[in-house]
Amino acid sequence: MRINGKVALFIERFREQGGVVELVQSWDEALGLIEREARAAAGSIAIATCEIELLESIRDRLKGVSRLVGPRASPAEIASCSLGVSFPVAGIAETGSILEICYDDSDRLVSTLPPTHIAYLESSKVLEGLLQAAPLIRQASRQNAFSATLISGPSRTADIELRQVIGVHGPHTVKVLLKV
Amino acid sequence: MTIYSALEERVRKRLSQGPVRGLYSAMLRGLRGREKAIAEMGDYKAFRSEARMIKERSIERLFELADIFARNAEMRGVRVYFARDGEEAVKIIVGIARGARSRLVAKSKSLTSEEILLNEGLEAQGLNVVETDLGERIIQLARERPSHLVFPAIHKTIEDVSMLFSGEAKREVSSDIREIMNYIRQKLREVFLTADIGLNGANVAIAEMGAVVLETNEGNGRLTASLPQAQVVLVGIEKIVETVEEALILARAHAVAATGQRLTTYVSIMSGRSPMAGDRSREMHIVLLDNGRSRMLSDDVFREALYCIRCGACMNVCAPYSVTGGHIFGHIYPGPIGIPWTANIHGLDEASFAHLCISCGLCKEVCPISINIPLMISRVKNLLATRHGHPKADRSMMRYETLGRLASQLAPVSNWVLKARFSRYLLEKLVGLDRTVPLPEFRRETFAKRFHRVRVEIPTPRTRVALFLDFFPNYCRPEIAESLVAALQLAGVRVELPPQLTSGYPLIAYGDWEGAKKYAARNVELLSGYVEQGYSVVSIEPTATYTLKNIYPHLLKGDKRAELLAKNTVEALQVLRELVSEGLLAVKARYEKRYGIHVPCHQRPLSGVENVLALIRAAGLEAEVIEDGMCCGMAGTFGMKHGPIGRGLSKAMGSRLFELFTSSGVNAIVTESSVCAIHLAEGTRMKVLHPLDILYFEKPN
Repeated sequence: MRINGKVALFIERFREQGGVVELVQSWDEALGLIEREARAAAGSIAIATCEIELLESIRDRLKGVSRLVGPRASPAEIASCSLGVSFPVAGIAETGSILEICYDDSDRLVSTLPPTHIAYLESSKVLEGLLQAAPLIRQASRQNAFSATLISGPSRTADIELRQVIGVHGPHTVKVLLKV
Repeated sequence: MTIYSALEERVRKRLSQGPVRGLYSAMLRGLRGREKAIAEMGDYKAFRSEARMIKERSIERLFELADIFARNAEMRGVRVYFARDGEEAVKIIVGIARGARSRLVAKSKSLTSEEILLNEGLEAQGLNVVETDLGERIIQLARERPSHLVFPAIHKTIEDVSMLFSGEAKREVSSDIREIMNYIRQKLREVFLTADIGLNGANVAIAEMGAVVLETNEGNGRLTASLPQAQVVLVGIEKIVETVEEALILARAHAVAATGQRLTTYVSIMSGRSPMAGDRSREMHIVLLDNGRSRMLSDDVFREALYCIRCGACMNVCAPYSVTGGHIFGHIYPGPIGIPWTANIHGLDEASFAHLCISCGLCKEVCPISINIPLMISRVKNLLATRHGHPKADRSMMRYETLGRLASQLAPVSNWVLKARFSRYLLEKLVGLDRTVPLPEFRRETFAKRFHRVRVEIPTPRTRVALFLDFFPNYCRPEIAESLVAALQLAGVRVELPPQLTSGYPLIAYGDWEGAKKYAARNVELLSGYVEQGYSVVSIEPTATYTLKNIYPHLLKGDKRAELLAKNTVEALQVLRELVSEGLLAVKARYEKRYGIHVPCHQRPLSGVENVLALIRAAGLEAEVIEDGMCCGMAGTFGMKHGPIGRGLSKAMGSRLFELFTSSGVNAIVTESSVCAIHLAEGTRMKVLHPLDILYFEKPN
């Protein structure tokens, strides 16, 4: 499969920043990968708010594999999960970032507290430049409260002797399942 | 003890201990990362200009935007407070904490909170404040201040950190980085989940949606902002921009300049207090802090400090900071931009570390907003001098022109005197000129005296230039100016030597604004007649060119003749390069060697290395640029001053560059700056030449 232009740039830059990108042809294939991760992680899975069809399909798929937590679970429950699954509204090629917009902070925690974060993103939602994210953020601001977060790889620090360490308070692994 | 001698003592102690551990590597890492990120950005110049315009228009509308911001935030249920000063801000936040019956505060890194000693204020009320950024937590446990904006604990070894965390845990946390990370993750996870208040600053605030923007790499910002029942955000009023697009541009500029990232790992834009799992009872409080900012706004010079986005890039390029670190080169705000901030927020005397600034000007060049930090620092030195007088050595160095003229008139006797040990000892005691610093030889016959012999009448000139000499080409290296004039005349250029003073840059460097303005006004008066007649002013020394082009228009604000002079001032090598590329001159090499090029700081905002490299290569010579991106440490007359704030620091700053040259395999060094040449020759024991020493020009065949 040939991927070029902004999608290729997004993949390249997200990976350069320590993120993982896996290409999938369909949501079903993505579900397979989530199931694989869930089996490997052997813990509960936190899920962020998403369309009801997606939620039901993930529930079905993980039945008997892992306990599904959320959407809108408590912080303590999310903190106990080994995997968080979220649904960013866009990818930004220029900066190698995904954009999450949340209206409930429990959704933010899904991509922050568990050690692994899986984000499902359709390649049609990859934008070229950072400023193209602005209309999406402005649209979200019509709600009384929201948060928009640009995530550019796993959490990191170099605060001790400049040693780059991946995974501090946020996830060690951020994996984008990119539907192409 | 005066504020100057106290500073001197601290620097002396630092120099005896060697440079701050790890700091130089951190700075280089920042600089290299920035260069790499800029390289992939395409038109960085346009991006930088856009970022500056955003800050210019936002600061212009500061109070209006603050009102819009507050209105939009309040519409979303956020409580917004205006605090006139730090004390009031602390009182407000203490009140919020009491109202929420809080005990534990989880805090993410906020320099603004350090500005107002917020932690101390909260702790005095019995609150437990826990810093959650790793570097800040280390510093908090060590009860120290950050030594770098981006890497606050860079001066700590992993063993230091292991000891601090072991002390906190009351068990051994080994110096294995993984174990430390596991410890901090678990320890702070507990804090995040149980804190009553999440306290953070804001990198930017967006008026149109009453939103705050928070950038962190570790993810602690996301957790402090989302988990606790109440969120408190402390925002300096200068952080507000109008639109989300503007905020995104500044977030990008911040990451690129700070660490060379495309964006900080997490950039969170938060508006209103989102519910948690449907719980809508949560609170958000935003404290907008003035604390001297509106005073800075009304000051012509210091207003620009409000453009700062706290990326710390100015720190990464500052040579004296690289040796002393932020504990000496800083009060609460460290580094170059910390000087005007400290002077305005914490008081002029706290900003005495301004004397460590060597006036290389690189902080402005590296700043993503092009803030004129050097001019503000000079202003702080000026104000300090009004209150405390100039340090003795600075006073002497500012009389450089009189001393140079005298030395030249008395040459060769003056050269003998300047070499004699006893007279050097006396000079050190009397005027603060270090007895060990090598001095150039002065010529009795200055270039100005020789010019009539060198000048050739060109009846129908191609162009006309007026030569600006400055100190060294006139008093010490007239042959450089002679080579230049000969080449120009060969290409049919008419050369005149107007009466002139030197540029007066040392007066700016040491903060004598009144004196510097006199130099500027006099030179503008003497040179602008030529410019109006169509002459270009060709300047040999990089610092002189920089002063005419970049300093005079600021010193003589609104003077159209100063602006015209700046526009029509050209570097000597630029003119020669153009004449070569137009086929009017051929450039040849005098000596076949492999040269290492040193770029003087003041040349970086001009042509950089372009001209010298182009000419050397056109002459068929091999050359490479050798640099670490910082000043060589001589910094005009700074390295000639006796004492730690002078020769001591200068040698420490230069040592790294000297090593780069001596290990590079080049045979000689080329630089356009005469003072850098003195420093490099001494430090490397290599031959240091001016480009016009190694090149000559002929009529093309």
